[in-house]
Amino acid sequence: MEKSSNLDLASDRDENIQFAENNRNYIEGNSGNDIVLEGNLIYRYLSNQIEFEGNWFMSLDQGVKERLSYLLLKNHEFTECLVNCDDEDEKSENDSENKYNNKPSDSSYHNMKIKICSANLFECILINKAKIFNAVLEYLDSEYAGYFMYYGKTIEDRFNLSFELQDSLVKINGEGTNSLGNFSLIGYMNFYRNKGNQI
Amino acid sequence: MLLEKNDLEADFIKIAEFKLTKIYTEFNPNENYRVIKSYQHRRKKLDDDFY
Repeated sequence: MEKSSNLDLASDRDENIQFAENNRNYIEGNSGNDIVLEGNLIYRYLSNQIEFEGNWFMSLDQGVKERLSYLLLKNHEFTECLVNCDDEDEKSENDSENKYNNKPSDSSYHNMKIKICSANLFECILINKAKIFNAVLEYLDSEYAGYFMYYGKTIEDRFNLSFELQDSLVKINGEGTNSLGNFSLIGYMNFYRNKGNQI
Repeated sequence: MLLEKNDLEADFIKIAEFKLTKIYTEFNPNENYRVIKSYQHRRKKLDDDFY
């Protein structure tokens, strides 16, 4: 069973002190003990918000995990994605579809505009079109704000993230700030899609 | 995969999982010291009250 306890004043003291010591060592320049953030990108129906929710921990001491939660700040905006059958990567596919359906090969026939927003993000990632998926990443390229717990205190983070699709892997880069200083973020995201779909 | 990762009764849906490494490029040791000292002070007070 995974050892998972929150760093709070009611938990085991020795464990908390060890956590503090590890963190201090990291901050004072010892390498090899990274700050790791992990969790899920979620959509909350009731508040119509996209949110990073999870935990952070020191890589050398994964027994103590602290909460984090960040909101996408442009939840009420949208990104437009025009899907055009004349696009080179989709042309052959659409031509064969038209032939099969006996539909005219009119370049405007399959044109459609999708407005990507928080409410339909999870549906958009299920569509097997690279252009739409890239538009989803463009929508997520934004500013995030929220908090993480640190020694029983709530520290507010604010950062920008950029998403990039590389070899079927969504890489994330970002920079941000909080009362403890400035930081950079690097990592990856794995989207839950239906089986058989390929990016 | 999307369905496997989600509870249909929940009021949220998991879209993706992430893993990030956070690296401080500038760090404010005074603020860090203040937060840790505050934590230790509260911890000590709780222990004193308990015993």
